[in-house]
Amino acid sequence: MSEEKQLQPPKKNLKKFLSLISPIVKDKLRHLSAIIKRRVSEIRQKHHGNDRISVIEDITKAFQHINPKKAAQTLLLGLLLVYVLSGIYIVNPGEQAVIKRFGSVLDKPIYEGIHYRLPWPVDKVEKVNISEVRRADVGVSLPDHIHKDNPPQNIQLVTGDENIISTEAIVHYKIKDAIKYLYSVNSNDEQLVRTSIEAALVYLTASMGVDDILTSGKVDAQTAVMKQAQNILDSYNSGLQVTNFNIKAIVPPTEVANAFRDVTTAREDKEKQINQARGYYSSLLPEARGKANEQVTKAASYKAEVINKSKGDAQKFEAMLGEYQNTGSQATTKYRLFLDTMEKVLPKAKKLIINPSDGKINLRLFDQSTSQVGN
Amino acid sequence: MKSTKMIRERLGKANPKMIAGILLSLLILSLNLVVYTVDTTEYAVVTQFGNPVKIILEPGLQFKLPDPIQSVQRFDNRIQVYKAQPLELLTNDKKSVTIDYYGTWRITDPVTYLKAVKDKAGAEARLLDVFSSSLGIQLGQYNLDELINVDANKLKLAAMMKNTSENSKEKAKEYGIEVIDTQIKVLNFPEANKKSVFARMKAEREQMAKQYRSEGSEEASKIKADAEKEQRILLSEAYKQSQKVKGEGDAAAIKTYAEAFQKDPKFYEFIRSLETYEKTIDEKTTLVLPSNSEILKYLGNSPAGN
Repeated sequence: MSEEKQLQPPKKNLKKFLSLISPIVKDKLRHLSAIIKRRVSEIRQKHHGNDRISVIEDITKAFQHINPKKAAQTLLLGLLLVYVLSGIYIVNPGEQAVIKRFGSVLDKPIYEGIHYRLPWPVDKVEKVNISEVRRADVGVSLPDHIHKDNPPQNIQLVTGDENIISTEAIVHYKIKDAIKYLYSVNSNDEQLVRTSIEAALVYLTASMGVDDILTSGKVDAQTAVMKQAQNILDSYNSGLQVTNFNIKAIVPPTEVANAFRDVTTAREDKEKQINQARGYYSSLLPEARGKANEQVTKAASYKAEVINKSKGDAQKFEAMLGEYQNTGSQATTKYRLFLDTMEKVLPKAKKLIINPSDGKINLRLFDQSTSQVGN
Repeated sequence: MKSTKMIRERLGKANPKMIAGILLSLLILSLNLVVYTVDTTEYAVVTQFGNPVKIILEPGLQFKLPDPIQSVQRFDNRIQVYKAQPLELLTNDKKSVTIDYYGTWRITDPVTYLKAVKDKAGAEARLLDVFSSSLGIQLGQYNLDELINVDANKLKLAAMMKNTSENSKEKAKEYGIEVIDTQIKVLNFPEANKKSVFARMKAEREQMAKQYRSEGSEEASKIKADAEKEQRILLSEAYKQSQKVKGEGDAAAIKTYAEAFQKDPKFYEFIRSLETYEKTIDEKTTLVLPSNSEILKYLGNSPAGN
């Protein structure tokens, strides 16, 4: 502890401390090399004088109790056993094994399980996964797909009406015949499927107009391409089966993509315009129908009103007439009625009374008076 | 020194069996020189000092003289796919197209193959000539509209490719090669021509877009006109109907009035006139009454004077 306290001096003392400790360390090191030298020389002395033969003698001594003949026999037997057992092989689920005896294929399919074949060099076994669905990309290099060979290039094809389009597709396939697959074609299976699909696509696009391909024909095209590609694969005895073919995208080349897009927009514009017109149609007509109904209803009510009014008036008149005819002095009644009316009417109106001494009415006077009223 | 002696002694003891064993293993080793297998994927040609003496087309175990005398050459009998560089070719109507193709082939006569092309590289060099010349000749016999056409009856692309395959088959025979088929992977216009093709495509599309838009407005105005027509029909029908109904009402009213007033037309005239005065004369009316009118007949005249 006290030493540690000494080891924590201010930094100024560090140099001093080092100069103090270095001679001790040097001394110890020198001492260490001397120890090593001594140890090495000791070991040398120990082994000195021992013969190489004596080592072999030691080993032979160790194995003296074993009969060499028997040992050789057992060893041989063991080797033979291992050789014979090397013919055992396992076929995993979904796999098919093919045995070649001296190079020629034994025409017997072998499926999953443990099996035996004659050991090398008589029989050779090759295993193929026949249930795995494999995938190949056409015209596009999918990022999630590991390519065993060169990745596919973009495809541009000429359509039946001399347009150029780019195609991207994905094809699924599997091995339907392991023997054919293994021994018919010397090519990567993915490449083979891709090229046959590409060949089928050429025939397809050459026979279709660009609009058909871009729109409706796509689905029909898929089955046609699949069929044709399968024909090509079968003609090679490839043992491959296309199980699914999907056109991922058929697009116009980038150089003309905008023009194509504009056609789509135009088609939508057309629909929009028509729909707007339909909207106008369907808003205009109900309104008109409403107006028409209103008019007819009003007419009906007018009719009812007029008829009722006429009847009412007629009844009133008939009642008055009855009374009028019953009274003794019809002229006086008439005059009373006249005056009654005048009493009702005259207070409202502006009245000008003139004296028609000459039987004529001065119209200027009439004008002035009305204009005064207007003022 | 002592132990080497011991080993020698032991070797001496095992002599007859040992020698037999060694001989056996030597035999097995030398079998390799005499026995060989031919795989199902290959044909073999046995050459004696370089001269082909035996052709094996079937797989299996085979024998030959040991190696310096006879040796085996193996040839792949599987179908090979040959992919060539794209070609730029002219059609019959002098239109330039780019064709990317591949051909499939296999060795059928290994000896001829061995003599004529030696190996796969040699074969592919010959096949390039075979394929490209066949394709060039065939393409030159068809017009572009026979290679691409929306009318399936006019399309002869498949026939063209079949002819190309047949042609190549014929030519490849002399190399001991069988051509299975040739297929087009890409049919396109050459880069130099694409610009004008794209310009044409663009123009076509623009025209199409225009057509769609004008069709749209045509259809729309038709629908609008229809709507307005139907509106007018509806409204005028309604007018017709309402006038008819009103007329009926008026007619009925006239009849009713006439029937009533016939009983005393004079009195009706009088009553009706009074009603009319009552209705028509209001604050805005100015009546000019002559002082000798009926209503004022007593104004200014004493009743006694009457």
